[in-house]
Amino acid sequence: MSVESTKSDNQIKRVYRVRKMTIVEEEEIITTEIQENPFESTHSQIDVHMTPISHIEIASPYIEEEQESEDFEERKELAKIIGLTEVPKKTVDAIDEIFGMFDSIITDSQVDVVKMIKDLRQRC
Amino acid sequence: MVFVYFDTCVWISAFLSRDINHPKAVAAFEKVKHGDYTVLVTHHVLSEILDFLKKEAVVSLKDERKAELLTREGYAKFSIRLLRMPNVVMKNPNAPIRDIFHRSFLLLFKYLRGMLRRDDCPVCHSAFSFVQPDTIFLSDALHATLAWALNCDLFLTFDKDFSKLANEHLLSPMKIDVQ
Repeated sequence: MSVESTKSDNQIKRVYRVRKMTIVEEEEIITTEIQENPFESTHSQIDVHMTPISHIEIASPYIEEEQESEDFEERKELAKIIGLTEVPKKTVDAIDEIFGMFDSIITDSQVDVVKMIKDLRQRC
Repeated sequence: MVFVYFDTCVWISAFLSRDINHPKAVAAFEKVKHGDYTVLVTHHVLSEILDFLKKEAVVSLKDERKAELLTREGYAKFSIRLLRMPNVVMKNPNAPIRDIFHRSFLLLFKYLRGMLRRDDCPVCHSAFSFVQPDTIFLSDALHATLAWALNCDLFLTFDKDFSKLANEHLLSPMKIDVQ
């Protein structure tokens, strides 16, 4: 397969994705407007060739994925509190990075976190 | 997929490799890594981690300005990792606050008994008759209630006091796992 044909295939896939998303958007609008005949097919009424180019930018996969996560607002707020301008992407490595993360703060040879938390909760 | 609420001690145990329960915490987070667990994190857990850091920073540095900086730095370090962790969801229950506090109160009132003799008095550090209550406290009850209100399948902790709640119908059907 040549480079040119691969590029062309990618372009086709991209256009297809944009059209598909646009159908979903318009489907929602039409469904709320047409209450009297909910069984009428709405797909045939949508002209996918009329899709505005601006939708391509809005519907980038990264933003779509982030905004769909149910805790996006909470994560965005926490990111802002600690001074980040955007929510970092999720990665499995982050779990390994928490192990021993605060060893330098508590230098005791042996630690009993349960006891420390109990003391914290009982304020003693 | 199991929805789990990690008690604050599980989180902090993972952060400290010299903690006696650290291997158990690592094992629990391995399950998160492999997608066996989805962990729900409330702002109550986030607040308690902040309190823990604040206290340890002050105790170790004995300087309020430096302690504040260390707390902020440590919390930012933790938060960045938290935000990047897969299978971890920040969530608070939609239940009215009245319901949360009411259920917590019922739990607290039910489990009043418990006393612990300690050999490490925080004042004189001696093995005399230093005792303290040994049962669930407000924060424990709140964590359990929040986990229940979030419909968690499992509440994971290393604190043996929670074993009293193992068959508690107020928290049913959530399972309390004290490791």
